[in-house]
Amino acid sequence: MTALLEARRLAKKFGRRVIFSDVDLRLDAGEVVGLLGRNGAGKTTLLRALLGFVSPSAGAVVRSIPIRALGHFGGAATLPPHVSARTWARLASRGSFASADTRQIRALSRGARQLLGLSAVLARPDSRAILLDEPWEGLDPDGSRWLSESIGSRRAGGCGFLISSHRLHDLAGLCERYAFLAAGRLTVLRAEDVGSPVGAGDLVRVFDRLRGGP
Amino acid sequence: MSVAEELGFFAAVSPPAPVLVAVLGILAAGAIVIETISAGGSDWVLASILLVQLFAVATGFFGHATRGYYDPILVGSSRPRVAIAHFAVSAAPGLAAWIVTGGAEAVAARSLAVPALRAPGWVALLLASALPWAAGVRAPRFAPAILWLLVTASLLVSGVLLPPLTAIHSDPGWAARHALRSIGVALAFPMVVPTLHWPAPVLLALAGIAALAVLLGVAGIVAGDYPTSEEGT
Repeated sequence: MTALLEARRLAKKFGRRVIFSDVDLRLDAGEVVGLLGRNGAGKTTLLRALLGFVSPSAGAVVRSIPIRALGHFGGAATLPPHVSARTWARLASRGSFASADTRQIRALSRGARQLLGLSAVLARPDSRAILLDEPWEGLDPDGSRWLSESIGSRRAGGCGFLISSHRLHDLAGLCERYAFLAAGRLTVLRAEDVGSPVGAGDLVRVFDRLRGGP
Repeated sequence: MSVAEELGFFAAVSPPAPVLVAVLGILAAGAIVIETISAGGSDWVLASILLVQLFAVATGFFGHATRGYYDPILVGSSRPRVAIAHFAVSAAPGLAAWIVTGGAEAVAARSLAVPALRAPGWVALLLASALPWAAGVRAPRFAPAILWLLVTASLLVSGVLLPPLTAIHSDPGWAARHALRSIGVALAFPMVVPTLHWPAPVLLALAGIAALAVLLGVAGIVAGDYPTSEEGT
């Protein structure tokens, strides 16, 4: 199977600081890959390198899909506060999602901003690979359930997801594979090698083992 | 994204400052009134539009891009198109004001050979649009225009700029004999370009400099890295 998106021996440094190196990761159609790591581990940088926003210091990103078939949401903080919710919904979804809310984004609650950004990205029917950075952040239980169901529904339609999250309970059971970023190295495990079924405790246990912790 | 979507994106997310757009609108409206009353009286409006344009186009790019505001367009379009769309939206209000003023001049003069619509006028607008935009790609909003203001003010106060300005104004052949100094004067003070005499090679050189600036700005955006603000620090 041809990967939608593939990182080959990818490395990134900022100055002399190595963020990650020798990262191999592929995202196939219809699968969800969870990306886990501590704060500052480089998860966001890895996502932005895969999107082409950050040029790698070494290695390459190979896409088999056109750039417009990529979807991405980097969190509520990446929404321009001076733009109205209605305008952003139209722009980010390329006309696939409409919001009647004419308030500026800065006037929305954190959860409402998160829902707006996610709704716009997930509504685009032409997306074949979607990269999400902390998508459950700020969502209430209803929003969390909607997001998990939306991801499942899009996955069933063949869309691939790479999701970075600290919300292990939401991530557990949703992914076919889990990618653990620790000390600049990425370890990718199939769900059945993490647990059966995968629980949040399994993810913590594997993560601790990989980074040599307790 | 289509071209219309790209233009619409920047018009919504990073338009030129509304107060500057309003000033440009007032200037254009003023030019219509002035030309109706007294044909040829709106030259100062052209200089004012150029001054405002220096600030209006310096919208910055990296500041918004590294906050993630441009993520949907960076992932949805090719970088050169993104860069050109950003430049077009940044320069559009000044261009619109220029065309309206030129139209008012042309109607009043019953001729297209008016300062805004002659080659020096277009070159001046291109300079005032391209240089601050390109210099502002990696700079905070307005920074290149403020820097230009400080440099030009110091050149005027120190008396460096006045002798060549006077010479170009009083002697139509001076600019041809001193091409490099003329180019320097036009770059330092583009407001005088529409109403003075400039030989074709000088105008071509100025247009070339402006085009080069746009290319460098586009290249900067195409080759740029856009980590989020906290990542790259």
